[in-house]
Amino acid sequence: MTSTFSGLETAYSGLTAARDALNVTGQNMTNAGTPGYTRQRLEQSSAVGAATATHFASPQARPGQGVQLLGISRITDELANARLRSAQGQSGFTGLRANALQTLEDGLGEPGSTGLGAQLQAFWSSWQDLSNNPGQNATGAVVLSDAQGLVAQLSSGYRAVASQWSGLRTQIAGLADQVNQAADQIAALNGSIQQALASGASANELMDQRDQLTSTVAQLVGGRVSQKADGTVDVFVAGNVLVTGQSSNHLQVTGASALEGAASDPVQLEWQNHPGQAIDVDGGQIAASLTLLAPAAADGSGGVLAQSAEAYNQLATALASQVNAVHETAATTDGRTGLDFFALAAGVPAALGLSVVPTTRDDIAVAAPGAGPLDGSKADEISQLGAADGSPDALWAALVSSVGTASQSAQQQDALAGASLQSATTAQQSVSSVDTDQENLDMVTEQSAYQSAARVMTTVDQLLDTLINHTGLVGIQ
Amino acid sequence: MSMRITDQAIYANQSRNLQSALSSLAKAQQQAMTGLAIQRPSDDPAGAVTSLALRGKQAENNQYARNISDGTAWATAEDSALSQSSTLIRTARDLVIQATNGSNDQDALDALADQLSSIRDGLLAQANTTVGGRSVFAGTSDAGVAFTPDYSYTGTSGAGVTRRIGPGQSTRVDLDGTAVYGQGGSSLFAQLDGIISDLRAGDPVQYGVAQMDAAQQSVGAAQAAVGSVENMLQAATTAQASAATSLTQQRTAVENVDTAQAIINLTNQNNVYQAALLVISNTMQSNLSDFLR
Repeated sequence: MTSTFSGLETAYSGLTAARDALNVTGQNMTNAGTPGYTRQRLEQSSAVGAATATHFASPQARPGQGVQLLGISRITDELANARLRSAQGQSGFTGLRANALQTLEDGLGEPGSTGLGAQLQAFWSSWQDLSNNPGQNATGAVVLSDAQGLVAQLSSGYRAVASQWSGLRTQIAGLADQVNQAADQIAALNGSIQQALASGASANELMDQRDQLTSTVAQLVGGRVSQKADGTVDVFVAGNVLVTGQSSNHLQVTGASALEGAASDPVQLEWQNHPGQAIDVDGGQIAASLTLLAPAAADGSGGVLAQSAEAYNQLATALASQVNAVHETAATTDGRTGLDFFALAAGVPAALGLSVVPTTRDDIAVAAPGAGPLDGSKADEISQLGAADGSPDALWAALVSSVGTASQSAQQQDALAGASLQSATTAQQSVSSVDTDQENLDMVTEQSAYQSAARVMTTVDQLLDTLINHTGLVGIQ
Repeated sequence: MSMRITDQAIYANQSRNLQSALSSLAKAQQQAMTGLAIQRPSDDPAGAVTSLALRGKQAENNQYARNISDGTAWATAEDSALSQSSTLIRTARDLVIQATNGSNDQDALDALADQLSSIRDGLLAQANTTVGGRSVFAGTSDAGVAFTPDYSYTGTSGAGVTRRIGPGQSTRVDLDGTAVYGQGGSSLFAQLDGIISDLRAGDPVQYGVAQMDAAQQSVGAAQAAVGSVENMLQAATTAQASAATSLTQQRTAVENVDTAQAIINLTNQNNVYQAALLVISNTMQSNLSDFLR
């Protein structure tokens, strides 16, 4: 037998369920635009009626006991989240690389009339003019000023690369700090979530915050997230623990702070508790910065910044040695030979140490010895150096080509990573983000559920009224 | 199960598509405004290197034009000096013939000697012709004159002044003064001095005509050489001009966009962007709450 009043209880459970469901819908609606918000749903089931079958009474059909609230669930798909994090790591990597390479190639100023290529051509042409008029101070002055311009452009090109390197070096230290802060916050949130879940409360909003933080970590340094049964997550970077439970490990970046030291003291990422051991991360902005900051390698496979700086040095060295090789065999108008045109200071990068030796036209040697003071054949020989294999011009073209190609492929990779991030975001949002139309429909459903439950309660009340106030009154006036 | 579509997903997609339409539009605008297909090397790395090489060739080619015009100045100066010399030598030969016909008294011979002496000075001046302060008959000398007053040659024989007038093509633009005028005691000037002193002494002039004929021949040979250099410079000028046109065309093909194409592309990108804006303003106008009462 069911209780006389159980119908009221049933109707009441329907009222509270509909009201709670409406509250959850309200939360969803109000957070429709909140970044990182995951939609929630009131989980409910029909309550089973208490079975009271005994030996003495045959089992009777029992109606259920209304609706039962199971909790507020967060509608999320860990697979979609993992895919999103991986896409974020990839996109963080390619985005930073593409940006840095574009900055680098913009610094080359090619193709254009202001690049080093044009400066080299002007320099060679000025030698030709000097070859035509070896005795004129004006043509000598043009050679000297073009040479000075070339030296200045080489060193400023090198400095631009070096300062981009230092900028990235400062940035990567900041990125590692961001990872550490995010790790601390994830560990703290792990604690709060564990506590909330243990006490039966909902931790959905805290989990949203934590997901935002794991996304940040993915963007910065890649990594992998694993869910634990107690509601906490572990975050792994390069196979090692960044966060487990409520404790976190910290990263640090060590190595040279200027480009010149990159070869002897390479920049590396390490765990603070294992200093000296480089860790190898495969995604995120930190990995991108590490590839850009890598020292130059002899086979050209080193970091693109160090490689470009090295190319500037090689260009400066080639320019000095090739011009000097001819200039030393040439004679000045007053017959001196064995003079250098360019000098390379020791102990500094060649691109910075390059300088022009002659200060006046008299010190520029243009004549073949014995061919007369106003012979210009050696100047003509120097003017043709630019066309040879291994000439500064060829080295410059190779640098422009390699930086251009690297930047082009970085941009293509970035576009690809962007598309894959878009698709991963869509997939994740398809599961987790709020659709206001759906919430509107839910609201209508919940409203009518509430109205219906209220109607049931009214009806039960009328039945009880009949039972209590009108039973046994037949015939009574 | 088909993919669930939500407002946020639509917004995110739309904003991304709008961003990509806008960045394509910006690129099309930049290309149409600057006319440059390669804004930075990564737009076309191979094209950027080609453009670099073509710019190098253009700079060289411009230099050839300057070298040719400089060389032409030398050749013109030589040509004029040689034809003046030729005239002077012819006059000298006439005077020598006049002196040898035996009917001259000493006064007449002295007058002829005076005339020859001024011709000698004229020839020496022609032999010392300069271009921009440099003697055309002693190119690598810095003495200011090709022949000093004692007729010694200041140039270096075998060392020439050359001009690079085309790819791998150089031509000598000065002349060896000794080949034209001789030098020292055997120079044309010394020979004239010999004739003059013979005339003043009343001695018979023996080799004068033959000497003048030989000198005329040397000058003629030099004129022929200068003529061929002038021809060469002329040909080089034509080659240089046509190379300049062809290099400009090649560079344009690599560096510049086809204007019509660029404008069509711009219009196209503009349409895409407008369409994207229109789609967004139309699709997101309403949702279910507008219809629920």
